[in-house]
Amino acid sequence: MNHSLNQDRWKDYLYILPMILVFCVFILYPVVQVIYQSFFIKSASGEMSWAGLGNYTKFFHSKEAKIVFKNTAIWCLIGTASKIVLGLIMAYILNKKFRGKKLLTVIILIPYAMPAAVSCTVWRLMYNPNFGHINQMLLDLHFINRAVSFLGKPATSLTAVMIVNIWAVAPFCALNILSSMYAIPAYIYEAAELDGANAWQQYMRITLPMIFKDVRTLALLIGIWAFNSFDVIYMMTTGGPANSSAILVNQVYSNAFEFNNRPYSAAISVVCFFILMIFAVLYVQSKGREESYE
Amino acid sequence: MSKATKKLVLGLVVVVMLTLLLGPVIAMIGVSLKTNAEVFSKPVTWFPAEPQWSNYVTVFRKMDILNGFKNSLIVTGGTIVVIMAIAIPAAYALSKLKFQIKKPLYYLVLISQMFAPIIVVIPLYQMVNGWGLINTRVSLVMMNVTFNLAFIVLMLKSNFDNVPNEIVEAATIDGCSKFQTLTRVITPISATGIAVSVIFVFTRTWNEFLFAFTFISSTDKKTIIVKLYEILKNNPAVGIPWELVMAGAVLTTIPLVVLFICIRNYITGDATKGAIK
Repeated sequence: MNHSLNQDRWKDYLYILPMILVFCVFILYPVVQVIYQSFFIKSASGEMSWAGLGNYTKFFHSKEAKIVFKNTAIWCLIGTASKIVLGLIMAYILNKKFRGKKLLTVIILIPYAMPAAVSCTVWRLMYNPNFGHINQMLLDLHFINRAVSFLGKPATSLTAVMIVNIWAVAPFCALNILSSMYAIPAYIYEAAELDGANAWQQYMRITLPMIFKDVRTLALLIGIWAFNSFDVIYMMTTGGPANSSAILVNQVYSNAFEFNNRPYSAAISVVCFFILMIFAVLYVQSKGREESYE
Repeated sequence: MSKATKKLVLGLVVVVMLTLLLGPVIAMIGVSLKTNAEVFSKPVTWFPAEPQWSNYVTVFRKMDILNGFKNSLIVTGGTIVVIMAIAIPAAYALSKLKFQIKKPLYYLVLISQMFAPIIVVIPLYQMVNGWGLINTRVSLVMMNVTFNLAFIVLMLKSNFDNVPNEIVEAATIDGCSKFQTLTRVITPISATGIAVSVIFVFTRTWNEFLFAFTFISSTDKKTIIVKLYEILKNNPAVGIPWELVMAGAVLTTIPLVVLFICIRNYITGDATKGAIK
């Protein structure tokens, strides 16, 4: 009996073995590789030599680092805050009863369902100073006198790309928040109604506190997504002009594939990795708390 | 505020919301039906004077869209098969089997879910290149499997958690081995959940850009997403046949929107909790 039990135990590991293999070969090993490579420096002839923390000090002292860290902070914090606020507003509306509500829930999904490459193509056309819809509208409304190249100006490029990202992700937040709102038991509202609380008071005193934990987990998740979202920025502006819309992950890409300086790019990867791990741990904690709460 | 004004305010907010959300979608459809001259004429209009449905035919002839769709389908199909073969047993083990490293393993999966592929793109490129697999669709399948695996395992696990343990025990008493319990009991009960996760893999692989862009160099192997992007990348803005690009964009979006509508109740992950009742 004992023997067969042990045999069974051994077999159990076969179920998870392929997954562990994939993680080890395609994630763990590359992470070790990236950390290792980041300590080297590439000479003009292409030879690698040990550089210690040279790549890191070079990056932290560079002019690009300043811009890129600032952009990453703006992109993640303001972007996430906007998505959550818009999500809360949309969820608030969708939680009310009105005709066409079902259709509306489907429609708000479209921006989120569109592939990033497609939405970037459309928005690039719309931002175009010569034949884009946005400039035409702003000219018609007399907000601007001359067409502006929003993606081509360092002052506006990051905001312009951020708007696209907010547009695409806010609906996802709305649906998530909405499902948290549905989970609140109806009797709590009935009791509040009896006590004479109006709709706004109910929202502030019951709904918001009850969904707070879910929203915090959601904010962490989409914050992490934002931190990782290389593709949107790359497809809109490739991080330019002059790094004005580049975040950390854009520098990883451009140094590796455009400037062909892989050790330097690896060092930036490692910086990203550590920042990401901090947020990942926060997310796991937040999620764990959410589960024990249930 | 009276009830009428409240309704009016609500209605106004809904209209503003819809305009902001759908503006780009309408622009996309509008431009896809314009003539090339109309795209560049001023003032910019939202709709064409006369819809040019022929753009949707021309795009197939002129832009090699069909080939892109074919490549996307191959990569997506391959990814779905491989990922399910790995994720279903893993999720079953995490959900129903007892073994020692279960808890740390669960946290490992949770953390690797937020792992950004861009961080390890260099060593992955070197590794795949070393195996002689760069510029193959197989390499894209491997990458898509890797970076969707954690997400799918978690999703399937929460599905399998819903299968009552009594059913599993009953199957064991009836003489089912652990593997038979998985194939004959758990999988059929969780069919909806599995279908939803297949759709998730589909959309995420269909949209994947980083690896499809960096690993593939020959035109005949590029996915539709990369093809669309490269038209913009390789042309100055004025030289782009925008009406055809937008027709291609519409065609690329339609399958995804349809799939998303099918799984709209599962997107937040909440409905999956009550899948079996």
